[in-house]
Order: sequence, then structure tokens, then C-alpha cells
Amino acid sequence: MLVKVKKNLIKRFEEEFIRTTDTLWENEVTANLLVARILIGTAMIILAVLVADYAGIMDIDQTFMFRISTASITALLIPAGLCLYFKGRKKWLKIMMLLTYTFVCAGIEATMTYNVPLIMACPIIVAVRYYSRPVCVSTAVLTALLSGFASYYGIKMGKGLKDLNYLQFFPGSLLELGNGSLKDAVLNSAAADYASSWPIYMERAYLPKLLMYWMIATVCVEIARRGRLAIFSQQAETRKSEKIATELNLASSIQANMLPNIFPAFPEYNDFDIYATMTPAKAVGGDFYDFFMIDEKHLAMVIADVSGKGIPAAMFMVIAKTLIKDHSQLGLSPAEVFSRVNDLLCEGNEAELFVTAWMGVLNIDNGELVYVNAGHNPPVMMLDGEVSYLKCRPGFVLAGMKGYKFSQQNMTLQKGDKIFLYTDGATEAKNIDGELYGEERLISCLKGLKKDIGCTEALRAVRSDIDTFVKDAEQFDDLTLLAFDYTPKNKDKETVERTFDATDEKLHEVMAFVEEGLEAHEADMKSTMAITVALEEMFVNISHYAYPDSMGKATVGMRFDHDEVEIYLIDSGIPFNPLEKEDPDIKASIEEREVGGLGIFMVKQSMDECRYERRNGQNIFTMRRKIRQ
Amino acid sequence: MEIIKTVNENVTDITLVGRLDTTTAPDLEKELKELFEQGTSQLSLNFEQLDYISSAGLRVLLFAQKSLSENGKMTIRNVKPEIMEVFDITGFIDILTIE
Repeated sequence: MLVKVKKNLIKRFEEEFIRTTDTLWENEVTANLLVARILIGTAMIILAVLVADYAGIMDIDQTFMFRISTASITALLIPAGLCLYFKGRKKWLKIMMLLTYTFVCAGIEATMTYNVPLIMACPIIVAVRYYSRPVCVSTAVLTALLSGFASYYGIKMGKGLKDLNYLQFFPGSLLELGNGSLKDAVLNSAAADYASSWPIYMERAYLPKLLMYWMIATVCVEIARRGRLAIFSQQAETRKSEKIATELNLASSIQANMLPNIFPAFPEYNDFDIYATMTPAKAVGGDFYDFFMIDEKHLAMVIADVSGKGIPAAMFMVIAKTLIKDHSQLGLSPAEVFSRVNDLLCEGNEAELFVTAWMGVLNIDNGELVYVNAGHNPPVMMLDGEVSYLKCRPGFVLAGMKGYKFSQQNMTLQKGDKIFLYTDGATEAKNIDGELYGEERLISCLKGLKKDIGCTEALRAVRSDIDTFVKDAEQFDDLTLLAFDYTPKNKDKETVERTFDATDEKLHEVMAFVEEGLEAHEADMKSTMAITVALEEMFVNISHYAYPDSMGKATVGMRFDHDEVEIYLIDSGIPFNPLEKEDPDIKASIEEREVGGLGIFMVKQSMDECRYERRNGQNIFTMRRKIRQ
Repeated sequence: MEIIKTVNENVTDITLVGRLDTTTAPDLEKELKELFEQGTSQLSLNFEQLDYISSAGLRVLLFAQKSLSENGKMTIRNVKPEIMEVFDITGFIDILTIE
């Protein structure tokens, strides 16, 4: 036990260490690239100065300038070029570039000591970008030494370098103008004093600079230290937000599992069918749907939308959903349920959230529907093939006003009638131009459906119509859809589907789900075998390859049509068309046999038809086969 | 899936019970690898109680057949018609010795 704890600790420490070094390394790489650019820029400036000197704008010895410039430019461009070549990804680049840069700066300083006092500060300012104290300190020390040497060199060799700034004349000095220029005369007269008195010049020229440099260097080292701390705290922030993201994911799956999501929902009832989906805009949402049997013949359907989005809405949603279901199961009338739930929700509702909701309770024997509305969008009814919005009293929202009394209405459904519930995430879905999907589009989409369409297909058709309209615009609101079909089930024509976690562990559940369906439709042994083999292949494909970085879902569905079945698998993973995979050579000898591609080949061989489609970011693979000979 | 192993003289007899699929194929593969390491060269597989085989299972069979093709022998017996169908469409029927 203790050993395990220790091991875990070590593992965590190592992970932490790798992560930290990774971030620092990434920082070093970016810094390298920046420094390479600065080196190139400096080379360009030197080139410009050289050109200016030749053009007579500057007064530096041209031969000397030419030599020092070409040397500096070459010295700068080599490490910069190497850095760009390796894309900054070498440990030694930093040392090489900083050394070169410091030397080149010192060289320039030696050349034009008095003209370029600021150049001393350049190397350390560049070194700060590495956010490393040792790098900064060593650059500072090296610069100070080199700069001292450059000053000394500049003074001592003043004549050779012809830097007039170092020349001083003591009172009473005489300047003798010969045939040469004034400059030559000045240099000639001063030369003697000047070489011997360099310590005085060092004290006057170098020391003040060194002190100023000390201040700059101190600030730079501090900035580097702070920069490194900032990297660490940023990392801590990232880790914190990762943790929050993990918790949100968990919350999201808790919420998803709170809604009834196993379809067919009531396999034991043959009089109706129901299907629903909820797609939150954020990880968790405030929309919900619910359906449950109150007793053997009363089915309750609820759809609701909590104001706001995200976690606050989700928490309120959980309370509202639980209260509505609890009160309904007491056998109260829908209006009474809403009135009581409203009072309870009003208590302590300091966040002033509210819920719009619609609930209907259907007597599945005689079709009597009692419904109540709390400010929710009116459902669309498909009565006897006619599509229209249900006329219902709007009612006030839940959690809005304590003591509000809801009133209910009723109507009678005939066999074949359908109800379509939705939240404003559907009607107020916006496209990129800011246009709303709207109630008109919704109703005309529903009008365009086949009269005998099943719940699942109807919902999918609406969803796809909305997605087509919205296109690439971001989803702003939670989107919930529920379809209810009061048509007695036709065993010959049925669609069932279920969503699973895409992992190998779920394989047996997936297989059991499909085998059950096949058995219920009296598929023969041979077909069952062929279909399950193909199903395993396609499901395992998704679980292994569709979601390389995360855990995803796979929806498996069956559409029965007399003695045929269509099995479809839907995932939102990376696009992959299995049908494009090349067939293996099944006539090859044992040695040449490849194992790859065999699975998909089997699927293609044993099915009557296979289709692949990429739609709305989903891979949809469909296969069809006869289930009886 | 259950793997029942018996050794008669130098023939190793393996009876598979249940399903040979993605989740169970690695078990069989591990078992076979151990046998081959111990020098088993005569393998007899009894499929009488094998109800299901997927491509993951076929991969293991191919692995075994390849391992034994030079200096060994693998035979499969009592194959159910549904599984025979799978062997047929994948061309495995030509490379396996089925009795």
C-alpha cells in the first residue's frame, strides 16, 4: 500500500517535472527564434551603417569599417541562420547566439566607443527573454568584462581607431596644422599624452558606464526572474482550468444520464413511441426533457428550459426536473403539479432564475391528453396529418411568482397523431447572418415529413434542417427536441437505437443490444452471425480510432423493414471512410497474408449494401442485409 | 470465452467455448504464444462449442497458422456452419486445415 502511494507520488512528481520542463523548453524555443531575428536585424543595421559610411554620411575609417562590419555581419548571421534552420530547437543555440551577440556588441563598442554607449545594454536586454537568471547574470558579467576591454582597447588604440572622443588636451596644448586634415593634426598632437594616461580615461569613461550598466543589469535579472515565475503561475492556472474542465465533463455526463436516454424507452408498450435529444450549448445546459409512466396507462412528457445557461442553469434544471417528476408520480393533475412545483422553486430562488415548461399527461388507452403550459413554446401537433401549433394558454413561468395557479387544458389524440416538443434553442437558432431559424421554418420542415415517419427519423430530420440552416455559426442556446408518436408499433418496421461509450468494454453490451433486436425480428443464425461480426468490426473501429485523444460516444441503431435490417453506427470522431480501405488479397499464400483490412473486407462481403456518409461532423456508416433466407 | 487445453502425446488440443472476439482474442493469442515458446508444433483446435468469431479472432488464427506453417501443423475440427461461412468469405478456408 505504502509502496504504491510512494510510486504514485514519484510518478506525479515526474509528470510535473516533465510538464514544467516542457513549458520552459517551449519558451526557450520561442526566445531562440526572437533572438535570431534580433541578430539578423543587428546585422542589417551594421550593413546600413557601412553603406552610410561609404556614402560619406558617417566619419569612420572606411577600410577599418569594412573589415569590422563584414566580420560582425558574418558572425551574427551564422548562429541566426542555424537557429532558423533548427527552428530554435537546439540547446546550444541560446549560448551560441548570446555569445556572438555580446562579442559583436563589444566589437562595435571598441570601434565607436563614445558613439554607442547604449550598445552595452543590448545583450542583456535580449537575454532577459529567456526568463532565466543564470543566463542573464552570465551575459551581464561577460558584457561588463568585454565592455571594459573594449574601452581599454578603444583608448589605448585610440589613434588606430581614430576615435576623437578619447582625445583630450590639457590647457596650454598646441595644435600644429600641417598639410593634412584637422583630424590628423589633432591625433598627432594628442597621441603622446593619451597612450600613457589610459587609466584616467578608464576611470572617467568606463566606470560611469559600468555603474549605469549595473543598474540596467539588476533590473533585467529581476525581470527574468519574474518572467519565470509568471510561466509557473500560468502553468498552475492551466492545471486548475484542466481540473475544472474534467469536473465539467463529469457534470455533463451526469446531466446527460439524468435524462432518459435509452431508446426504445418503453419496449413493453406497443401503443406509442417517443424519442428525444438534448444538446447543451456549453458543457452543461439548462434545458431538459423527461418522460415517464405515472401508472400503467398514463404517460407524462415534459420539456423545459431554465433561464440562463451553464452551471447555474444546470443546477436549477436538476431541481426542477426532480420536483416535477416527484409530484407527477403522486398522481396530481398537471396543473396542480406545476402550481406546487412553482411554489417550491420560488423558495430561496435568490439567483432569480426561472423555468419555462410544458407538460402533458396522456392516457395511452383512450388518447386523452391533459396539458399545462408555463410560458413555454407551444408544441407542434400533427393531428390526422395536419401540422399546426397547439393552442394553449401560455401561463406564467415556473419560479416566477409564488402562489400562481396554473390551469390545464385537454384534448383527445387519435391513433397516428404526433406531438413535437422543442425549446427555443430550435426556433432561435441563428445562422452566421444573425437570422433566426424561426417557427415558420420549423413547421414547414415538419410539414415536409412523411406522414408515417418514425420519431427517431422525424427528430433527426428536424435536427438536420436546423444544422443546415445554422451552418458554421456557433450554437448559442441549449437545443432540446422531443417527438412523440401515438401510432401502434409495427413490428415489421421499427427503428431502435442506443448510444454507447466508444470503448472495447462496451462491445458486449452493443452486441447484446443488436442480437436482442435481431432475435425479436426472427433473424436466422447465419444472418445474426454475419451482422454481429460486421457490427463488432465497425464498433471496434470507432473505439480504437475515432477518438484519438478523448473518450467519445458511438450510436448504434437498427432499422427493420420486413425481412431486412439496416444497422447504422454514428460517431463524432475524426472523419474516416472505411469503404475506401483497400481489400486484402484473400488468395495470397499464408506468408503473404496481411492481417490489416480483413475486418472491413468481411463487412463488405457479408452485407448486401454498405454506405458511408460524413454529415454535421459525424461519421455515419450504414449496412443493410436480409435477416432471413 | 473459455480455453480448455489438453496435451496428448505431442499434440496440444485446445477447445474454445463461447465467443472469439476483440475482447477475448488477446487471451487466446497469449496462450498460443506461450505454447509456441515452449516448442509446441502440433496444434489441434476444437471449435465444436465456438459460437462466434470476428476478425480479431481470425487474426489470431492467422498468427498461429503462420507460426506453424514451416515446421508444425495446426488443424481445426468441428466447425459450425456460421463460422465456416466467415472462413469462406475471408478466404481463410484455403489456408486453414479444417477437418
